[in-house]
Amino acid sequence: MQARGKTFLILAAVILLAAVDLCSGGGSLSIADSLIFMKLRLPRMLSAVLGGACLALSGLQMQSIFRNPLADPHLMGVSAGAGTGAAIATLIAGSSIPVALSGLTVAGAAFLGAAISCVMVTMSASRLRDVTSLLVFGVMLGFVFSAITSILEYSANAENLKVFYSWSAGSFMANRPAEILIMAAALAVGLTLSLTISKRLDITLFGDEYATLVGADPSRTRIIALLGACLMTGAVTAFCGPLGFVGIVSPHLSRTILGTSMHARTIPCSIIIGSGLALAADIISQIAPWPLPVGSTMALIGIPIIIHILITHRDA
Amino acid sequence: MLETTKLVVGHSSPVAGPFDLSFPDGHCVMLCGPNGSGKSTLMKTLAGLIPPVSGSFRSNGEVLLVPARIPRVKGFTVSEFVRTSLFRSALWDGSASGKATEAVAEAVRLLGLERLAGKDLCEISDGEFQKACIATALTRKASVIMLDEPTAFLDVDNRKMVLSTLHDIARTTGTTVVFSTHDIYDGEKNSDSVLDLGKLR
Repeated sequence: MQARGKTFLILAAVILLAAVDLCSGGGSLSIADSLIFMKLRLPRMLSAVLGGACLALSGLQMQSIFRNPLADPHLMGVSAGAGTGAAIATLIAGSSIPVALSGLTVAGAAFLGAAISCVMVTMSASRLRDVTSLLVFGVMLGFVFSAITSILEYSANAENLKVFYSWSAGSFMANRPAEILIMAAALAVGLTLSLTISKRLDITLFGDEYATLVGADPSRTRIIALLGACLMTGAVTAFCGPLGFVGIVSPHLSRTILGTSMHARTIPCSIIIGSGLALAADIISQIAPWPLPVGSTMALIGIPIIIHILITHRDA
Repeated sequence: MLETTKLVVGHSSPVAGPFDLSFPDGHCVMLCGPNGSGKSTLMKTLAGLIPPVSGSFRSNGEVLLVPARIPRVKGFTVSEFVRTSLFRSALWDGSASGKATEAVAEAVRLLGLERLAGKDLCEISDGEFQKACIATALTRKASVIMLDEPTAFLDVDNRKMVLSTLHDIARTTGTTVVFSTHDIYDGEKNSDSVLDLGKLR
């Protein structure tokens, strides 16, 4: 089947998942409960679709610019930066001015934390010319942010810690329309950036030397891709918590299914697969008989897929 | 055509030179010498990747380099890969798209890769991939094409075929071709002149 046909088939499956997601949730709905539908289920479904799409597209770009199949936004310290931001909001601000502690404060602080690490990564991308140093920088940055978060957790009281943990477990619930709009805007910007550099991303895969020689400066490609990826990851992590695996798995699945690595085709397909995985994780979390954070469900779906990829496509 | 004037190359400190070279159009030049004698450095300098330590060089058109090691990426066909070399022309000028397809087809034909054009890069041999790399330089109709060790991974038959193709390309298209190699015997047979950096020192 042609790549386009496959992409449309996956899109149909994802729309079906979205419908299932709308129908899942605590209790059964009568028509009179349309308020619950509009206030709870629709935002949840949209968050999952947008969140999965953003993370998948970020992961795809990261894997290409670092030429590393395991690269994803978490690796570059963006999620860790968001975590530190959220920790500062809940654990410091929360204990000194409890009135200020709300979901929006946490999200805002997380976005700020993600933005700071984005700026640091993007700035270092223009200084560090080779891929490996940049990757090492990102991983180290992540450790630094995690260390700060741990210090804050260590000295926090139990009540604030619970607020922080519920953010860090990851969830598509309780997102306001404004937050969903921000995620949609981040996706729009990220998608536009990635589509404009899709040919550059193709070329970057053939090495920095080759890219320079054909006139596609690899550092510029990296900066543009990082900018988009950080923006999208920052927005999603702020509102939904740090969600792993979608970013790593979706690009691999799209390349395997389509049989091509050309970004013009893998970008739309990865996005759709990312949304699908996020919806699947959300549905499982909803129908599970006990409380199941969607971040954990994602890991449980994602890990078997990663292992399968590693075993069956060792040359990928 | 490629001319250098008292050209000294190196990464900030001199590695090789000074060179006073003059290669006319359609000339095929073999660059040889032991490892570390500055073959790659000279080529990178001429391709504009690193600035010369001193001296200057000029050509009558674009100078292209085919790097020694291009990673082989799964998920690209031979034509798709060769087409990436036209990034500048294909991306910025939509109307050139037909011409780009033509240029790719011609480069693929010159290297005898027609049969493999639709194959994934991971399904072809090392030698065939090397030919695809050479094709990326042919699409752009440069005035000087330089190849860093184009025969390093090839078996005897492919090595001879690639070297004689390089020689043919120089003769028929008027491109100046410079290739570095350790395969002195076959290289010398398929070149018009030899530049031995080991002897120059």
